[in-house]
Amino acid sequence: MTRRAALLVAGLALVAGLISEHVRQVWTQPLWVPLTDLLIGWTLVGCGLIGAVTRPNQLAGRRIVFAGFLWIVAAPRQWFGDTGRTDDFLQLDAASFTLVGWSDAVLAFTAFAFAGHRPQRPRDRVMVVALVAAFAAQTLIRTVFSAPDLFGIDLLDRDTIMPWVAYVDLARVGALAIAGVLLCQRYLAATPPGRRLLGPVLLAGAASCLAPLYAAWYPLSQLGLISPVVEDVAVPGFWLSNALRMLVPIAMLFGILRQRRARGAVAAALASVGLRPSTVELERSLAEAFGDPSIRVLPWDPATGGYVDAAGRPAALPDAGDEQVATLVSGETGPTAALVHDRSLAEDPTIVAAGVTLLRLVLDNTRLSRDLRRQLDEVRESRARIVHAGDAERHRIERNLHDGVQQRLLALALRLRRAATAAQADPDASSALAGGAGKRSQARGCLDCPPRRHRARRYAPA
Amino acid sequence: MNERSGSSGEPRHRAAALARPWASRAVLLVDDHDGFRTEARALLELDGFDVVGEAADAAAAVDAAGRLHPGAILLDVGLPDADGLSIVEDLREQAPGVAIVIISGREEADFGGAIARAGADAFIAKRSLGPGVVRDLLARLDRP
Repeated sequence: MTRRAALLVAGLALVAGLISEHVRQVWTQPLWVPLTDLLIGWTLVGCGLIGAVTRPNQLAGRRIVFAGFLWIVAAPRQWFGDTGRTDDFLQLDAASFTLVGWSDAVLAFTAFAFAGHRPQRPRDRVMVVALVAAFAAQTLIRTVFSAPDLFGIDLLDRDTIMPWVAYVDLARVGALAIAGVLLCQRYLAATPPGRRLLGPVLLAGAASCLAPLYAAWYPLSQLGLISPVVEDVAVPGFWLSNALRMLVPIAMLFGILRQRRARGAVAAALASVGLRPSTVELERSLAEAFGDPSIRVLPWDPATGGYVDAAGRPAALPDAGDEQVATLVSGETGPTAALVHDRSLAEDPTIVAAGVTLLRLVLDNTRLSRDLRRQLDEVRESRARIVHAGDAERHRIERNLHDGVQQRLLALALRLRRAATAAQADPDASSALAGGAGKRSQARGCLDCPPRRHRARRYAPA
Repeated sequence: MNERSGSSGEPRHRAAALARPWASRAVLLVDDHDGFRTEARALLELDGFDVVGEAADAAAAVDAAGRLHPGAILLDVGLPDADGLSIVEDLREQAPGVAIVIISGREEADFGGAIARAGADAFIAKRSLGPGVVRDLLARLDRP
């Protein structure tokens, strides 16, 4: 939701609140009655809008806005002293009467669905269905009750229908009470990270469900089960209930914003883990970001075809009934890691997705670095092989020269020197000795050349 | 490998070699090139040396040194099965007191200090070999 749209909705809520109070003739009551009505409605709309703007992907904000409008349209009626009512807006007033309390149903649904889009636990889904059924029954019976005002027809005698209105009211309040207990139970059953993540919204939802309990005195007294409550008791109860209702949207907004901070913490973790963190460092950063100290990162080991822990040992993923669940991370070539975390985190797919994104980035970076190192090693080995091959070839040439030309020349030189020595004693013998040996000057010339092996070494690779 | 022995069956130079090895005229020639060995043998014999054996590789050289106990060994560096410098100690173990002269087609400077480190007594470049060269060198070594 854009800020402009939010401002528009806020302005609409302001106007709608004033009109509603006028239509429902609440202005005839003591001033604090319409003021608390408006304050609760506007707080719901305002907090919901803030949540919707700051967390556009989270439906909770928009649901709270919707609950706020339902409250504005049909806040539970509280009449004290002389009602001073007229028949100026009979139909509109009767219509609002049929919708009383639906805002509580929407807030309960918001809490049950938080932090996802719909309730996850089967019992929560059943509870939501039961709530809708109770509220639908209430709307139906109240429509029948208000038919003379709404449609000008008298479906049933009001004295006949009134007990049924009371029964359905009690059923509605009872369903809300059970829903409140379920939300409290969900909070108590959550792990510490889950309580941090979901606590504000769950408890606010529970408060929203339990607040209407105070209104049960009215149908009970109508049914003659209890005496009518005097104003000295009803007014403080009304204040207490309204104070509780006013806290509900604030607490829910707090829960929504806390989630936003958690996602911000994931972004901060991304900045803090560095380029190539170890698995332990990654786990520590994610644990801080998620507020879940039990978090584990299990990289995929292609060699064993399974996940391994930080020490490289095979690691098993949590079972279905464990308090921890595994979110699997896959890459282009298959699984890359598993993120094992508290089950409650899975209730907010966006925060887990942020963690998975972080994990994928880090793992991809690590894999790319590893590939780069491997390629560098291959280049080094290839270069070493080339150098080695060149070296071997140089030695082969050197050996050939040593074994061949050079040795023959050296032997020839020895023969010539021996011939020269012999010539001094016997010229004929020296001539025979030097026969076939070639000219002395040629041999000397060859011997004065740089050694052949030196020449061969010039061909060594750079 | 060629060897020459005295009529008694013992190397005739052995007593002299054990008493004063460097003064012995018995020489073991170690080089893998047949032609060079032939010419070197003739040259040494011209100088009055007794070439008691020849070896074409390192293993044969160590074996011959133990059996023949020459007074001097002319040892080529480039042998097919080992670097000549690497068997200097083995030769000395086999023939204590022997004078080991490294011969090579390269210059002494090419080896840095490797010849001295190997424990050889002297170096002669093959291109410098000639009548009287080995004789003069061994005479200098024999000088106290």
